[in-house]
Amino acid sequence: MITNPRIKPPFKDDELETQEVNAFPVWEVFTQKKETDAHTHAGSLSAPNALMAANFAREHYGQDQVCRSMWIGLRDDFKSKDGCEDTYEVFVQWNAGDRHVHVGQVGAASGEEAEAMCKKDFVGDKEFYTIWTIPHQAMNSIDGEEDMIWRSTDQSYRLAKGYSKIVRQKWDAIRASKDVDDYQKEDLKDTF
Amino acid sequence: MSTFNEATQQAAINLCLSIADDKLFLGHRNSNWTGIAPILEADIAFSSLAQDDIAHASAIYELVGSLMGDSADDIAYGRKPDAYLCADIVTKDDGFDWANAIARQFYCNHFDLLRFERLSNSSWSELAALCKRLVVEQHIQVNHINDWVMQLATGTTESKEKIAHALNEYANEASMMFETPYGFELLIEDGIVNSSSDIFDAWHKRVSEQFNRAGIEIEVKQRSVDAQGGRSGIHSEDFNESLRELQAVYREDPTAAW
Repeated sequence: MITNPRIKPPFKDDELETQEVNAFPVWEVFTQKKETDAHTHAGSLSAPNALMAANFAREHYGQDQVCRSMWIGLRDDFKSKDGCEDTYEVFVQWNAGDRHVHVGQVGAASGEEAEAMCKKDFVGDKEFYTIWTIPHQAMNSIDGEEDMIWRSTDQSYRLAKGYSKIVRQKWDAIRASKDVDDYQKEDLKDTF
Repeated sequence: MSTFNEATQQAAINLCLSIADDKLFLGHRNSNWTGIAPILEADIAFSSLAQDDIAHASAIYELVGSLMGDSADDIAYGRKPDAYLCADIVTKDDGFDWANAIARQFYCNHFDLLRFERLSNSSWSELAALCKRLVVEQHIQVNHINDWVMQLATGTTESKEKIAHALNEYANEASMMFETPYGFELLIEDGIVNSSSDIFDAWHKRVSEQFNRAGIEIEVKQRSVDAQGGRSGIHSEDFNESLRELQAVYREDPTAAW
């Protein structure tokens, strides 16, 4: 028996003097599984600054599958037409609903120019849906080789596939025992 | 597989249990935040790090299980209260105050990193190899929690007061992490671990660096040499409550297969 359950935490809404912040900036996160893979959009998160965005991204998007590198930038920067002279990382979403995929780098003076260069260098006359660009300087990257993202200890319990395997075994066992029960019931009926 | 004489083996078991029990209970306490942390991102991240703590505990229970001839689950869940050797800071109730949870995690994470670093040089090769791997993972926890302390201490006046208060509140229990488990001197004599007489100072230096970075002043004193607590199996009421909760399912049916 759980004598003192902690499932009902004492919420203390009225005690805080600080106003709740509902408008942290939104950050976009790209992850790379293998060195030869392109960085692919994993999702977004809210964080007050780049430091916390990187901390959250590592746990939020780096632990559901092997992850060797991570790029994090402000959503506004990815979508901005403005910008400065820099090397831009460019990402193409080929179809609506697809994830943005890193296609390469271009040198440009603004987001708008980077997008035009991306179309010229990487898209050509192919169909695409949207393009995101970001000045390399504006992006945070985590290199998992030097700064671990995906852990080295057994992490199988985090993965859905490990879970489903165990659950399937349990269901198989339940079904097997039910078959035996049904068989015995029928068997008893026949006997008596 | 290393072999030890009987007394040394018991001391080695105690050392491993003190580490794994710290990790298990800390992970358990932190997992209580799943679903209710202040913001969604913190919720996910804190839960993920809690899973890491439990994974670390599990790896050490596996290792010590090879000495004790017992399964990791039975060691983790099946002992009597006074056979658990965690320091009581890991089970100190945070009252669902985020600053408390961060303070507890901060002190523990720094201690765990230091402990793993030092045990990476152990002459017990299995333990050294495991700790070398855990050092790398523990850095993630330390970096994460350093940034949280910084974040709260440099946020609003209120968040600064709260984190400073929490760090002071947990300072006493933090000092009790440095109590050594029974037989530790024997491990030093046998050359299995190096002397750790300077470990408090090393830890204090690191946490003080973070206090400076965050612009707060916190005093953490060294415990008196003969102070006994969790490492000797003498636990607080918060520990007992945590243990009851932790063992509730296991005790329903200790032989159940998971």
